[in-house]
Amino acid sequence: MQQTLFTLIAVLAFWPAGAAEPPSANLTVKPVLCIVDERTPTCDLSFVIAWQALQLGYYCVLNDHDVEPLRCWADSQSGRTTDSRKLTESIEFRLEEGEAGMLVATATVDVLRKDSDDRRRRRRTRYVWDVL
Amino acid sequence: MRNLAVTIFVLFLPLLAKGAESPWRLGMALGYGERGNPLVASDDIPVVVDLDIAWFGKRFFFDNGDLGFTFHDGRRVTASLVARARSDQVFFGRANFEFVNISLAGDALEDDAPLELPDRDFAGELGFEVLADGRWGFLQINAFHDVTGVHDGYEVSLDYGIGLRSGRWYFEPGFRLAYKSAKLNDYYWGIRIDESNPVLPTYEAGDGVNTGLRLNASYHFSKRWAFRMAVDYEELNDEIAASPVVDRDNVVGYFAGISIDF
Repeated sequence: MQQTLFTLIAVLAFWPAGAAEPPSANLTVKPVLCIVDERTPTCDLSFVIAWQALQLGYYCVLNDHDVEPLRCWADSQSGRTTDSRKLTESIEFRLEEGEAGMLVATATVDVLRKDSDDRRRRRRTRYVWDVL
Repeated sequence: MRNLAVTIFVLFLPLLAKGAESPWRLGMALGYGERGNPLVASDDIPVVVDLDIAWFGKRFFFDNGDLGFTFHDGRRVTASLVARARSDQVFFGRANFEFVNISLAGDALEDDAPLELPDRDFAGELGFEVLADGRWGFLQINAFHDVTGVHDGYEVSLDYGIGLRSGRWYFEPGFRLAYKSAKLNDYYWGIRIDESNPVLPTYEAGDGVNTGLRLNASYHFSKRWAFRMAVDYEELNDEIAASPVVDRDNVVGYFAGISIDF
């Protein structure tokens, strides 16, 4: 039983990724990471958002902070736009297809918080092997 | 067994909570570095893995070997009672056994004689720690006394650093002053009569102040992965540097590698 389980896990772990269906569209956002701390509590970012689809169609780029789409394209297979905003938490951009808004691709911009209310997290230990 | 699993799950549950700061800080850095060893005929200490295991509760905390109880956490200052181990013993565990024809005091020997460095122990220390921070940087003041009867000495230290961020880069320069009592210095770096021999003359170390500079830098590739490097220079006080078992007056540490935060 245990051996069968290990075999199953091994097969799933090494199953070729190419066996899955290729995504119908690709969405990229740059930059993908912003770091905030006490000195810089918000990220003031300008994004470059680009997408490419396998077929022509009506596509919109949205994000989970706004209700309205950022921009839409008709009879297009690719697009590019920019967006500027202040962030304090991560934001997800979505590429949706058609009037029904079928989700075809996502991209996340992470906001990494390096500030902390607990100043003990910055304390230094003094062991011989502590170099960092 | 089931109770253990439940306990582990409860302890790690905060990691799953989105938004709130987890009491845990778990990380690991893989790379290469060294801590210089000031002892004669001794190897430097390689550092390949740097683990970061810490847990911060409201009052109690564990930080990579230090155990603390916070009795004041104010707007400007945090004060804690801390127990820790003194790890200077590690330097003594890396001595090479050598035959020499000159004593460590510089006198010529008639015959080759073995150089055997004395053994030293870890010490358990208890003390107070005060932390303060602001836009000016952060300050850590410690006062620790041996409570295990190993060296019976004490140390008072001050550590200042300031964090500077530029995009994904983070730099943290800092400096350190550490006063070491005569008993502390003498236990680790002195040579007792019963340890002395033709190669190793007796030596009594007094008190002194070590000074140090450091620079940490990191570059975040993503939320979890980063490149990290650190350089640390510590100037040993004259009483340590003059010990016959010490052949340099400083300890340099460095590390560069890739880290992951869990």
